[in-house]
Amino acid sequence: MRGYSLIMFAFSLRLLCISMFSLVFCASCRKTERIVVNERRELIVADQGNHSLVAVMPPEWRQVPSTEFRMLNYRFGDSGEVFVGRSRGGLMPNINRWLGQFGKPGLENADELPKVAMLGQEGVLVTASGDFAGGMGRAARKNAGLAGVIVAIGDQLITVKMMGGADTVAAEQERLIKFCEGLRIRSDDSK
Amino acid sequence: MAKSSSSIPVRLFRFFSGFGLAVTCLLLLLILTWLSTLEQPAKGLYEVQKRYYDAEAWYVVPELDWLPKINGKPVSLPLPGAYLVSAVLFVNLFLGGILRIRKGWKNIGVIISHFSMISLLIAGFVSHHYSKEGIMAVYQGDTSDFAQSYTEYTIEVAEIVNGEKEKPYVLPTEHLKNLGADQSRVFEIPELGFELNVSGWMRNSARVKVDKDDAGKDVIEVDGWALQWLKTNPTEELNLAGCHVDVFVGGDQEKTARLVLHGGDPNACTITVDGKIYGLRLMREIWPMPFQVRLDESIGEYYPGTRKPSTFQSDITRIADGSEQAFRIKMNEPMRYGGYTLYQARWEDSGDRPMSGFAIVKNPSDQWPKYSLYISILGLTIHFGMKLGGFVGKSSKTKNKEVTSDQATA
Repeated sequence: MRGYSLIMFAFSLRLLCISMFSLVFCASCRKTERIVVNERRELIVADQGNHSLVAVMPPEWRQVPSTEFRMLNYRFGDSGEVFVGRSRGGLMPNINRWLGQFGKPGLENADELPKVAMLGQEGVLVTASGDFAGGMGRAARKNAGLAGVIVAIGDQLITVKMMGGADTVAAEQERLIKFCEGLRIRSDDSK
Repeated sequence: MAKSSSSIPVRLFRFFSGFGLAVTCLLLLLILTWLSTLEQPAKGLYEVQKRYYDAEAWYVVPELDWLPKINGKPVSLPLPGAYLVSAVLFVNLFLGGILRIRKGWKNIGVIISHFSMISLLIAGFVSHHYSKEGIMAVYQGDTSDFAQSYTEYTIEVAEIVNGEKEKPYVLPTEHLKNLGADQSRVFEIPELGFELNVSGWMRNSARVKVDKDDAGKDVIEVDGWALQWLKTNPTEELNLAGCHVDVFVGGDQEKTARLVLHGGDPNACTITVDGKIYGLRLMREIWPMPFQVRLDESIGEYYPGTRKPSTFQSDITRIADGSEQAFRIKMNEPMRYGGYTLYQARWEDSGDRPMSGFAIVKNPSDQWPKYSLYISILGLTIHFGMKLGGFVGKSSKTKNKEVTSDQATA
């Protein structure tokens, strides 16, 4: 009886091993599948994004991940970039900081700058081209261009800044203005 | 001897319903539980569960430092996976403990106990395949309507119309999580007319800035960003997956774009196909809820000098079908609704508002192990009761016999 139990025990183990290895072999033989995706999920509150700005980007741009200082971050062409951020420190210091990055003299006031309607306010369009001195993590660059819109909302500024080659920025400026005009704050925002 | 007893089907039946197989399975389950518990501190719960207990883990090779080494390499000791052993045990219990067992009142308790073990294994199977768990993180004053997986990543593809996201297509997590770093997998979305080739899967990674000129042959750079492989964290929730996605469009499958996706990205990367903008995002799987939870008040306390909460509770309003109902969720006092169980698992007060994290579980077999144990108690009580009754009866009979024989001798 004891001998029979031992034989059964050994046989059980052997069969387990055989079944295990045959299953492993079958699993490894499976071909790489082509997976068809039809499943869609319902929209949730979080699909509205992690901030209250709604932007309609032109199809020529590419959205890339946002960063700490860029709520919205876009690329276009080979090296053009557009980003939306928040800023403090007043309108004029920010305009003059932007101009200073291109070695341009600062302005006394923003009266002469073109105006752009953005987020229900009147923003100013700042443009510059030439040699970019670098800053905010970006390397210095020759023959660079800048086009940006700054608008004051309460005690903070919303900035939309486009950087790239001087010609590329000039060619893209119209899209930038349209983008700024299309920016809106979500009305049903609970954040 | 009857010839039929040695026929192959009979021998197979005897083997699969045999006591030897049952003991082997139970011993293996004991060893697997012991080894996986020992591995857990170093490898983490997720990794160990995946390697030892997953349905696809046909075998497991324990990785423990104290295992004997040959030529500096630890001995490889493959063992069958717990799922496979449980499946064999299920067959064994059904054949041996229900079909083959001698039927009769004497064995009724044993049969009931076997049935309880079978139902326990079925509960495990249902839980393994059909239960779902996620976390809903809500800040005080906010409302949420979804839970997010702790560990499983997916890629969502959604058209963006006028700056708003449409209902996204969801790439199945089970086809992503098993993707090796040197493997790729094609996902076809027929309704959008394009295919995604997902490759270079990293279980834990960081998104790093690189210069186009500095990017070497091995570094895939897109828009100044690349992925850096990081060592897997034993706490799976802390791992941030990353991958490369090539988008192919149209019948001739022309490559349109390459994207670098990272699990830590707060928003999608976009591509434009035929003038339409699509956002692709690698993120932990979203699980929409059929109700909303508004966090009215979140109260908690940390253990002194630590960031570990000692106590927490949340006052919530559940919004469903147009009606609102207030609840208080406390430790060990969950809210149950529509098959979902919501219990508080986290609490934080690091920002301007406190945050409550609710673990949400939907498990069709949630209460089955409890019922199985009740059945087991019933079976064993009957069995041991009958045995005890038999023993008492036998003892009193023997005693009576002894008394009678003593009287006769006297």
